[in-house]
Amino acid sequence: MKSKYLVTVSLVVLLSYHGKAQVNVGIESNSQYYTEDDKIKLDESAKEDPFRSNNYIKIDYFKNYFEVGLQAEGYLPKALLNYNPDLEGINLGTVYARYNNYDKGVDITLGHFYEQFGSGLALRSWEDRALGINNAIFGGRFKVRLHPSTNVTLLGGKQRIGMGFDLSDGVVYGANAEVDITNILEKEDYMLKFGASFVGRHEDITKEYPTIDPNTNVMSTRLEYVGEKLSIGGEYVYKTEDAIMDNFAGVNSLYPERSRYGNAFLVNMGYTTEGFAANVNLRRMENMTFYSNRKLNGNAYNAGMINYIPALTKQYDFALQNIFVYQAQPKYGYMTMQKLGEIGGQFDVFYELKKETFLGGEYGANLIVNGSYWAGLKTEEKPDGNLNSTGFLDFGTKYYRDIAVEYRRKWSDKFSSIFMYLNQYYNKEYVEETYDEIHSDVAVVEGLYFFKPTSSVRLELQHQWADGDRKNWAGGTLEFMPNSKFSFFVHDIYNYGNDDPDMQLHYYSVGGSFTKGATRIAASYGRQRGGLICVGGVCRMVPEATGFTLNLTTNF
Amino acid sequence: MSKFQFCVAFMLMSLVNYAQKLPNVTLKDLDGRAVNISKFNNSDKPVVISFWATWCGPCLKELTAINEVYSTWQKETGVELVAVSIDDSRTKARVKPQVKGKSWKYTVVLDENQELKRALNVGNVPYTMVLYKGKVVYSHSSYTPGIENEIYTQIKKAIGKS
Repeated sequence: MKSKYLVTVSLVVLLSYHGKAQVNVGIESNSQYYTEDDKIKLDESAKEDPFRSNNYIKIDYFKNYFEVGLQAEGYLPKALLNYNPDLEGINLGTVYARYNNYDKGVDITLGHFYEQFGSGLALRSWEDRALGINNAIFGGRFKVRLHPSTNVTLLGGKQRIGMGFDLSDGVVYGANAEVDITNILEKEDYMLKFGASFVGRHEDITKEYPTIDPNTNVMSTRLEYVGEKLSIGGEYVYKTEDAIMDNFAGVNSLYPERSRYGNAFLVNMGYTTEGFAANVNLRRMENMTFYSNRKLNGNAYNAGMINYIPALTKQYDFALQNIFVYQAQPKYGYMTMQKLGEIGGQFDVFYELKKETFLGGEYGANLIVNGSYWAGLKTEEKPDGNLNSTGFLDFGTKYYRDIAVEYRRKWSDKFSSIFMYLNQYYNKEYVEETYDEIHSDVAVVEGLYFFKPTSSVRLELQHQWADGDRKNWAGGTLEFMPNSKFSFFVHDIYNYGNDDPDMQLHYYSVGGSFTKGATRIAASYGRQRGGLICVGGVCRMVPEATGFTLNLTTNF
Repeated sequence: MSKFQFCVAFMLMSLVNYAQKLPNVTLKDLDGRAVNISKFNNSDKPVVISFWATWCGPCLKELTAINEVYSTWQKETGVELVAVSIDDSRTKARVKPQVKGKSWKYTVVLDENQELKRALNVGNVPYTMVLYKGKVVYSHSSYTPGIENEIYTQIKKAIGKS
């Protein structure tokens, strides 16, 4: 009896001791069972392991100012198709310990960490499971608030390029400072910030290439002003000279005789008032690829990227709007295609249409117009064989252009709709280094109807007219949500315009999801269209496949 | 009260502390000023944390639907909605125009490198949490039309006003 009492007491003590601490657990599992049908065949390696799954469990323990955590990953029996094959087995993905005291302004991390300097053009390490990206840095990071206006970060380590302890050859180190000038000036009605970063990569390959400097550095400075209505910001980035890695006939090789610096200019401007907003982003860059292992340059799995260079185009919602997706062109290419970088910009205008107007109707509506234009830099060949840009504002080959109009309107308490029209030009030859250029138009209409406050049906219809690639497509989705827990859908996109009648395929899928609290389970069966899947301007190729998909996420 | 009951009560109390609260993560608001998210643990009003992105259609639907009833929610419960954008530098410039262009009255913060999203183990957006006095009393993953009614029921339940 006494021992029972003791056990209870110790359990209580233990639990209440832990009660001051906090444990967070997150679980995600994505599985696919690949099958073949009469139209879509799998390659041999895929057939060997038709069932594949990517699984993640992340556990973090917080107590006062201390945190420890880890992420374990299991690719069972193998990673989903077209993920980096270095993601294999069950192993640690990340592990860290941290002391984080906000009041004192001190934050120290040892182990794997994620970080971003400025817009990411100099450094960004992050995780995106859908894309198979985890380029956490394994090492140490020290953040300190020197003054209420001034924050400084110092970091160093090697980058994760496979599982948690598959690390880059190159060492990455950096420093970042952010100064809030308005805080020093004690101004309240606007904000002015200055930032500067330094990022170095040390990768010694002098054994093989004696002339190549082991150190490559990137410096960035930026200034940002945010007023009540107007905001404007700019960033300048410089990368020191490094030999060029280029791809020829599928093989990445180093060209020590071709060596060049890189740079980037970024300007953001915005104007906002209640109900109206507009913004413009302009960017020019040359030779800005930066990897923790030179030989990873341009790899298909996005492994070892030190900086983040997103395509500055709108990320559209609907399937047929995402067949031709622009990817930023930072690289210096010579062997397959002469390229030095890109120049261009994008704009967006948001307008809220007032109630009781012709376009606004009884409930008000929204009008959004956006567009972008991107081109290569005009180049010339110097006597030593290197490429040079001819002038700062000289536009070269057109890579991409788009313009879109979106009108969202609520018609009644039960019905709302979206109309969207997109016109685009995609230079597939230059962007993907293959062939073809495409002009396309996409029209989308979506309606959402409520039966009851939490029961609804959504229908979306899409059509794409394209003069290249696989030509015209038509598509639709019907989704039924009987209550706030369940959702069921059928979806199909049909490539009826394909020149080859045998390739006029339907990419159909049916599925459903169940949500309760923080848990979500989704299952579907169908065909997936092969091609680029892009999230946040970074893309991954997915194979064309038929099969079952099961996704689960939860946390507690 | 017997010792046993006392022990059980104590254990239950310590279990309650396991419920998630907001971590010590500092993000920027739309004017570039630092906001430490853990400060919302000290709010004596209910707080809704809603993860979203400009490129996420369901997120825009959810926040637009809540915006229509937000002034009523605030009047009756004093709730504050913190809309956490996970837009990264590709789409970040679109956040402020989206918010102002739709006249959203929320507190908007930018989780540009997904620090808060990761700390709370949020899988996909949209993801919504209701907090009261530093404790998560309800969370919901994904958007189903009409879920705003359920969120409001949970807010009222949390403050004992249902």
